[in-house]
Amino acid sequence: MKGKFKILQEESQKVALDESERQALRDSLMSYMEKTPVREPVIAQSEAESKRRNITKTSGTLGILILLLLAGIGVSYAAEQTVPGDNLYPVKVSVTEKVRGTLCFSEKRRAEHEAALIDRRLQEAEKLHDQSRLSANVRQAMADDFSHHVQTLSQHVQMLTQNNNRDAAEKITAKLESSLSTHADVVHILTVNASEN
Amino acid sequence: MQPSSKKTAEFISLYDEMADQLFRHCFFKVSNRELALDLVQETFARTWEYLAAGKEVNNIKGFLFKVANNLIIDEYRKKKVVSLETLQEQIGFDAPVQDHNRTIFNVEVDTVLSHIKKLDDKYREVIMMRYVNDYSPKEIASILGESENAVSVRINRGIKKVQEMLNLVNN
Repeated sequence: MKGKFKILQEESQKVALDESERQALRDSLMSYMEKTPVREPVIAQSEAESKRRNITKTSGTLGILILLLLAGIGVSYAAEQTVPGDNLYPVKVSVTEKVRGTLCFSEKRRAEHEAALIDRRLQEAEKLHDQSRLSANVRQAMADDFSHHVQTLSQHVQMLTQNNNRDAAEKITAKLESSLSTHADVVHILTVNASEN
Repeated sequence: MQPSSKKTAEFISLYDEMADQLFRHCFFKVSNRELALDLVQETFARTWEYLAAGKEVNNIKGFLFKVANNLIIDEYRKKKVVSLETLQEQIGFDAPVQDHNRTIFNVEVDTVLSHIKKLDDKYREVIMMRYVNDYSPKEIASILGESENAVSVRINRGIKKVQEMLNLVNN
């Protein structure tokens, strides 16, 4: 009987992270840790001292922090509805979307994130087109960005297929097809623009 | 990328030490490599969040396993809505998740594994930590916060129960 467990023990050790997986997880984790820094605990003091010296100071500091946090959240929230050309659009793309991307650790989640970004870019292009703000320059930039995201998504889907995760690959591909179909008009505008250039 | 403080350096060392063990633990519970990778990453991320909030953890390895197990339970809940009793029974069985990446061991090992998964939680956990994670009874005791003697007794009882199941099948 012990022999069977010994074999199980030996076989189990063969199940491990390969070097690229280990490093990828490590890098993602470190990136996440940089964005979630340690908040040092307040040093404990006597009750009388806390009441006398720290209450005003702490509540003042807390108030400022809350205001800053709310301001940050407010800015991020306001940025969500922006399109290229709006002042807060860089916040949406360079901050909010980047942070979300950092939290995607697996191939599947990275692919889902990329598909979501494609849908957002198409919505933005549609909004600009409706407002007659889709100038040639903006159209070119959006077409390049769109191509980049589609290419990145293809790579992720390919990796999923190679890793035998066909179910996830199919679901994400279906999601992309749905986006392209929903925004067919603006896809045509962007891709015709790309082929003309 | 280099860690920027002592605490982050310590946590990364913990990752270097525990990543394989947690991966193995998750993989044997969900039988899906991609999902196991997700679970490992999520386990470390949540544990870091907890520590970064200034909270103390006495037994960090035990904490990691607890977080991993809770995430695995969440994963089962996502895939199938079941009663709590059925969920408790099913934790021990092969996951009702996509199984594209399952490693097929030889028949003998698969059979032993399938019986181990039918054990009660308290036996299954220590047997898996002993023979899948390759922890010594002393290390298991430290992770679970129990005595080495209690863990050794439970391992031996678990082995005996698997033996009984195998004998039943053979007869």
